[in-house]
Amino acid sequence: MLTVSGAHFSYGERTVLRDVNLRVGASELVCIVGANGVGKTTLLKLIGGLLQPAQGSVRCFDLDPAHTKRHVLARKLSYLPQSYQLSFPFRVSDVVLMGRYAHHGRGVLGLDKDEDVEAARTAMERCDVLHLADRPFDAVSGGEQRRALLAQAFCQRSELVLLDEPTSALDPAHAMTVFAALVKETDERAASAIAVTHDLNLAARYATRLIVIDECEIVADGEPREVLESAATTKAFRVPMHVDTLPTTDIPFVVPGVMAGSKPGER
Amino acid sequence: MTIRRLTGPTLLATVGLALLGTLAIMLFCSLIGADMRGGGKLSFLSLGEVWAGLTGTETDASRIYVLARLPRILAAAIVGAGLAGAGCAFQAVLRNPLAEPYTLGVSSGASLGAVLAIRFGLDTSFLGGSALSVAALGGSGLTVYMVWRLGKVGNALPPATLLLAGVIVAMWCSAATMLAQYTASFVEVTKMVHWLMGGLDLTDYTELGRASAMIGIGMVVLLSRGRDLNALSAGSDAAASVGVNAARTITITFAMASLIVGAAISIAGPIGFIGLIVPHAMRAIVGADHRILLPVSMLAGAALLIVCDTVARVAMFPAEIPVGIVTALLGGPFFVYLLRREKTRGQLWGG
Repeated sequence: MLTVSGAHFSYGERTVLRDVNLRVGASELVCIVGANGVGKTTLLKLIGGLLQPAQGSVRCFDLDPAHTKRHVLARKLSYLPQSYQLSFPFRVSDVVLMGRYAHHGRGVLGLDKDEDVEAARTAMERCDVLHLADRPFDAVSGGEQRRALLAQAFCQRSELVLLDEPTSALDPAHAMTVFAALVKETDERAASAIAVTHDLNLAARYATRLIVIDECEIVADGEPREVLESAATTKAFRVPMHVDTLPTTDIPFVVPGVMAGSKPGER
Repeated sequence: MTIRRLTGPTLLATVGLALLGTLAIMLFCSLIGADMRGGGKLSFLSLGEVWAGLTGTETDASRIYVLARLPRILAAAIVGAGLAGAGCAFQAVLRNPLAEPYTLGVSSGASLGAVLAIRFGLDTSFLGGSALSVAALGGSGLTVYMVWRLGKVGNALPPATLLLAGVIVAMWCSAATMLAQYTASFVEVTKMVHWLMGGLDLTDYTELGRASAMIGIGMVVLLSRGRDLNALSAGSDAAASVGVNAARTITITFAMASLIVGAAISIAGPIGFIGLIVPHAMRAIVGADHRILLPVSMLAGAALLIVCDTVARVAMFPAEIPVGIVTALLGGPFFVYLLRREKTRGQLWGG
């Protein structure tokens, strides 16, 4: 459903992405990790058509995202930005229902239909924000806002969900809820999700595929455990990764910067 | 937990109620005024007398009503509705609750156009309309185009640069307006000052019709953009991700709001505060959803300007105050009240 080939991007003189190649099929949950400022968000914006590659191409469902009408693209693809600042006092449910705008058709008044409310309700239950429906969006906590925005992206019912740090500001239980919800979406509807995240353990546990970006390029791409153990990952994060399996499970976990013989409090 | 949604009946009921209220205010205010027959006392026209005159043979009351009161009330309604709607749209597009028609230089440009027309003796009739109106409209159109060009960054229209461009162009226009005043004759200056204070004392139905058509078109287009303006409240990227073309929405909104303000100023002069306070007050009552906020603001703007104009007509009776002074005098304290209330509730919008 998504093909990025030979994509270059730069902000003026500064190159941000160099020769990026990426294919994503149905039912994948891809996590993109990497140090700050290596181009993760830029890649997500290229895929979402918010930016346009200087060279190379992005094809998403046979469309060029940067040159597709936004209301057409929005039914195929939803995007959860890293920061979201609302300038007026909308309710949480209003914000979630905005995810349905692309489904409204060309109605002049743009009223909400029953099916919109149903889609919003399902999404809000899945993201555990239904109880906040009537609260002003600005008055709920940062983590609750993230979850409401995730519900907005879900009720858009797109086939590809792009998420920029969906679990930043979330407590551990809700961070897990988010990834569990993503797994459900990718399983039930054969949708795919691409999430930029710094939470390596959640990525290791839930992702079907892990991508590491370093110095403007994709340096590792594959099965999460193998990628985490690779030399490229160590180089990308400037610290070695201790990867192990949780006792009595098959779930990998990772602790950065720890080697055999390390002591607590040691740097 | 139920999810509240905006349905047709909700929208119809709310807007209908606001419409009825506005019409009632319109009727009531159109009957108050000076009755020169009674030695210039303040009095009410009798509705029966007006009605009889309108349906049968003309009476004094119906003549006063049709020739003096009605055009003025209608002008106040359309100008008030337009300014409030445009203010609401500007606030949404600039993502700033303090934006209003004045912030983007629209009215400064219109004022400059009008003042220049007076300065060069063009305030006569022109193509069946007043050249003053045409100059005001042209001035606002030019400034808007300049602000739009200056504020554009690539294909995007970031609110910050747009606002900055607006302020710069407005300042330049104000300086040019002052220069024109400084070099004008005494008679011209009097005319300029009178125009710059804003007033609805017009009796020409053709001019009213022309401005109403422009304001009406602008309002209808704005009303069809409510949903897009909601999405835009969270910025261009967020709007794009839910399927709204941000740059196009901003351009259309900006153009239509400017057309409205230009046309409104061309018949009424620059009238302040309506575009700022009405959307604020209505947001506190009906919420932030532009699909309902826009129509309600327009109706409330009409009602408020009718009331202000009636105060202007009767407060210092038999003399008349320019309505711009009334809106500013009443609007200022009201805005301070809103600001204080928001501060105590701890949710200063957009802060």
